[in-house]
Amino acid sequence: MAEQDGNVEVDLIRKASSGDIGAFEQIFLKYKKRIYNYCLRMAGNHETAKEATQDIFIRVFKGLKSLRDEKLFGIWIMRIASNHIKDVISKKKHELKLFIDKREYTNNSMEDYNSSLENHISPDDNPEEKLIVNENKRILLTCLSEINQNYREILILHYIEEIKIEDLSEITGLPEGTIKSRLSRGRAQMAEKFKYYQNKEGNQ
Amino acid sequence: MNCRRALKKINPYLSDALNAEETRKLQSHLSSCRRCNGEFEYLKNINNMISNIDLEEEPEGMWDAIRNEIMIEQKHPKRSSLSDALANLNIYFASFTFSKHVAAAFGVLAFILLLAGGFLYWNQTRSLSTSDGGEYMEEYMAASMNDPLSDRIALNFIIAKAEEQK
Repeated sequence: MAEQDGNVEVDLIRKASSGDIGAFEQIFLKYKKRIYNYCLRMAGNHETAKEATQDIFIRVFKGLKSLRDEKLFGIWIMRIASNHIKDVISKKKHELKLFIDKREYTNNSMEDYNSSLENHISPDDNPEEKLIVNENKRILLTCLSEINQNYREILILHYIEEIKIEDLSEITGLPEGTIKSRLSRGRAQMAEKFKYYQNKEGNQ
Repeated sequence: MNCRRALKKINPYLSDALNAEETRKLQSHLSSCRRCNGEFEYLKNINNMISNIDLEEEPEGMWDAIRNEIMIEQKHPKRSSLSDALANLNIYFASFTFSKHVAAAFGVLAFILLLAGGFLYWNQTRSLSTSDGGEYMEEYMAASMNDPLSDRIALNFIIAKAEEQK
């Protein structure tokens, strides 16, 4: 079954590569969720994530001819996404440093996170429990947005996008040992920040 | 394995970075040490929470934007490299969007430079025309146009003037 899926995909990629937009739409439908959510967690806001996702797919379409092995499409597209979103973030940071009051930015991204959290709540939850879960998730997303970008990327790809460590190594071009140590450091930073925020909220 | 070592190994263990021997030692320590096991559970919970961040629905309209861009690209398949380079430059300069702050800063800077320049010019002409050196230069410039000996003449003029003052 998986093999068949793979063959269908290879077929679609070949068609898209020769200019078939319909085939490319199928590819888009298959990967959009992964790419969009990756961008969202990396950039921290919906607007940037949407724009980045569009640009990534346009880049992918233009670059399809240079893809040697269609079976590696999944890794290749994540590599493009990873490079692109890092570009976008560093440009944003540059703008930020030059012109924008930093507080304004963090407030915006917090609001984004908060609004995104509303989607997480399911109506049947016990309200008190819901509040705690909600609160923890908010803190978690804040922590995630604050840790080192390189660690954040690996954590997102491994735990949210569920990409295996060996594939991560292909995507990032880093050895598996580095990926693992980034996972560890990212997790340590998350734990530290999470404790800090929990204590802070608890004292208020 | 003691607690100090175990606490260091917990995080790599969760990243699948320990070998079989280390894994076995850590596991046996965790099963006997409540404090270390607590730390282990805490970090594992962080993993779980990150894994449980739901994937969000992506916004509408992304495909339309992508398709439009691709169609444009296909209609004009070969852009010259120059226009590509210009497009890149555009993107580069787009990040330098001039905010009001920057415009104001440039305005103030230009004004200050203008004032400073004006002051320097005024100061210089004033000092030249009041000091003997200035007078000498003026005489020299005027006279040298037609008299090769103007240097001497100007000097004499100044000496005469100085003696007069005495």
